[in-house]
Amino acid sequence: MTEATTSQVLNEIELANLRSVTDVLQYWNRQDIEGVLGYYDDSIIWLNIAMEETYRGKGEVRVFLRKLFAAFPDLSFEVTYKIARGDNVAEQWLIRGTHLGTFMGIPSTGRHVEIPGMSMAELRNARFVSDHFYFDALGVLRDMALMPPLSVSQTLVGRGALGMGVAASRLARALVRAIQSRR
Amino acid sequence: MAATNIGADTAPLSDAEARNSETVRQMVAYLSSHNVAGMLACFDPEMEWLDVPMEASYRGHSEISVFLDSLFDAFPDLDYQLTHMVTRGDSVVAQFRMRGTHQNTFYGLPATQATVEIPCLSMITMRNGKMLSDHCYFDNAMILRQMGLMPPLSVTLSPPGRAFLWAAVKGKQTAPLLGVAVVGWFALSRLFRRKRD
Repeated sequence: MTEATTSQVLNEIELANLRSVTDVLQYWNRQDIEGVLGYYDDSIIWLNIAMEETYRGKGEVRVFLRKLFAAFPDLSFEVTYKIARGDNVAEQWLIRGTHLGTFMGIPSTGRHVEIPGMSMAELRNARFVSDHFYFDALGVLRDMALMPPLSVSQTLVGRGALGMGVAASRLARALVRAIQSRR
Repeated sequence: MAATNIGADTAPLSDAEARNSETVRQMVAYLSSHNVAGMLACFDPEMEWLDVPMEASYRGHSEISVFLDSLFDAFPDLDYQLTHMVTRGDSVVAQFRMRGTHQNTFYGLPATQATVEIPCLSMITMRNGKMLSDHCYFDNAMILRQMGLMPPLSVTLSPPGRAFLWAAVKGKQTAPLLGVAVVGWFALSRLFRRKRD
């Protein structure tokens, strides 16, 4: 099941919005930036929650997509579940790709990454005007083998390392506060 | 975006949908007041709580209440604000702002005393007006940055940060090569020294 099935009939707007979020996927999967942008309104505001970045207008979205597709030239975008109501479409998705270019400042690792995430989108005239994009950047770092697996935190050595990390961080912050208060 | 931001031409919520969204609102209120019994009353007996970034899943009331106790123990001032909600059939998607101070060990991480404020999103499935599953999405890296355990993005993306990341990635990839070179150099130097002797 990839769509909320309900006895309630979707209205014209909701059907058109669902069509758009489905049709745009073929362009994502061909890494066709202009094709993707065809489904965005000029006033698009895209909130990349994990990277704490906001892209305003097609120009800024284009810059981000260029970086994304350069980092993952074989990127695939699969929507696993979606619901529509009024101007909103919420999508649960899975992005897969091979990390062959710089992403989030990290040079290519050649690793395969699988990024599960969700989007809360708002559309006007069946074009995206807003997209809040949620994913776990730490999970991406694990896929790139730059972070140990989560199970490490359950081991004695892992807990020791976490304890030392926290102690060092608290010490550093105490020092910064002490220096600031002396000024 | 307000929680009531719904297109003008949208049909009103069905009775079941209105009940579903009311249950979720109530659950969020209980979550913010750390009322575990109240929360459990909003959950189906087979409820599954899936924490996507932590790859952790809690099934049924007893597992979930153990998890909630540890969550409220680690963040005694934990507060959730519902920022947006979309309902359709048996699905509810809710966006939150979560805020809390990390005062006790959580997932093996000792208290950092840092106040964390993160946006999160829940994909919720309902059954008979109760929550059957909740898949929570948020960014763990953001939490670690706010706890002071990861450098801020401005540092990561600065030239020294990028140089460090480059060394971390390329260093790892070239480590076997470097290892072979060091061992080879050592062996050769021993060999030549022996010859000179």
